Amino acid sequence: MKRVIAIAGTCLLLAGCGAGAGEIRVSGGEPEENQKVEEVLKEKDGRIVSAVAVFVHEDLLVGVQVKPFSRFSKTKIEEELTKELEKAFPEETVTLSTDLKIFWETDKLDELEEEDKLHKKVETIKSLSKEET
Amino acid sequence: MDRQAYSQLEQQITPKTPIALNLVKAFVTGGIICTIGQGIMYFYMYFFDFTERTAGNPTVATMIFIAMLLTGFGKYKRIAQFGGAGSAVPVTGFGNAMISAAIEHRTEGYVLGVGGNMFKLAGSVIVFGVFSAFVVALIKTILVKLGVVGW
Repeated sequence: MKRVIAIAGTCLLLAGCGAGAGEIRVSGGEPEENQKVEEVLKEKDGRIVSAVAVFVHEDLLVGVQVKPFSRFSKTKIEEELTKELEKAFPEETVTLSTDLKIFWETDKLDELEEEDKLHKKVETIKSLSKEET
Repeated sequence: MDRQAYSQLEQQITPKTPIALNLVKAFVTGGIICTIGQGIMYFYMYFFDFTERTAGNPTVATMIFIAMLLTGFGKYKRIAQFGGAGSAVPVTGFGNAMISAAIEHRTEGYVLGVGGNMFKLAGSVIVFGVFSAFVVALIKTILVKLGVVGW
């Protein structure tokens, strides 16, 4: 029993230390557009651990993960980043969230090829980010 | 033997409470329960359409349900003996308090026994929980209105 606990503990520790390699990944847009998003997100790099951004037609979906102690000011970070991205891309509808679920779903968007499913997924993400209950 | 001598004797004989060890045990037990809770929360987020904000409700319900089952099968008391407050403070303690009261009073009948006594201890948890939630919400509303913090 003690050995099992020790092994499980070591695995958890290693997994915890290995996860969370910070990166900002942008896809789906023109190269310069992607660059621009990265720049905006990097400006706040002190608080952001990793981010995924995907351009889909008129939508820009961004999932952001913040540092543990910045989690207290999540809504503030969301507001600031959304404002800046909207300024940078006035013709796109920006949906930005610091929620882990949105981050995962946006990450999955890359793999989807079919137009139909992509549209559905985008709508789901948008409605999820507005969910309050 | 006067009162003072008696209390002195009593203090000498009573075994010392291993406070540090108990604290460590409670910390580990509570931590494991919370890790399981976090795992269930990620499960709901990954496989269903719950966000970080909304996944809390089904997670709490599941944790209480698991604690109720464990109490019914007589396993939770062993966890509680080891972990002490570490097993009582998380929401699982609520499920345990409900079911153990129900089991204790089942000989008195289903309505007056189980039904009447089920919330004997858990009822106070609900009352204080609702009241403290009300107070915290009040404070937060005032702070938001004053512009100190945002929602």
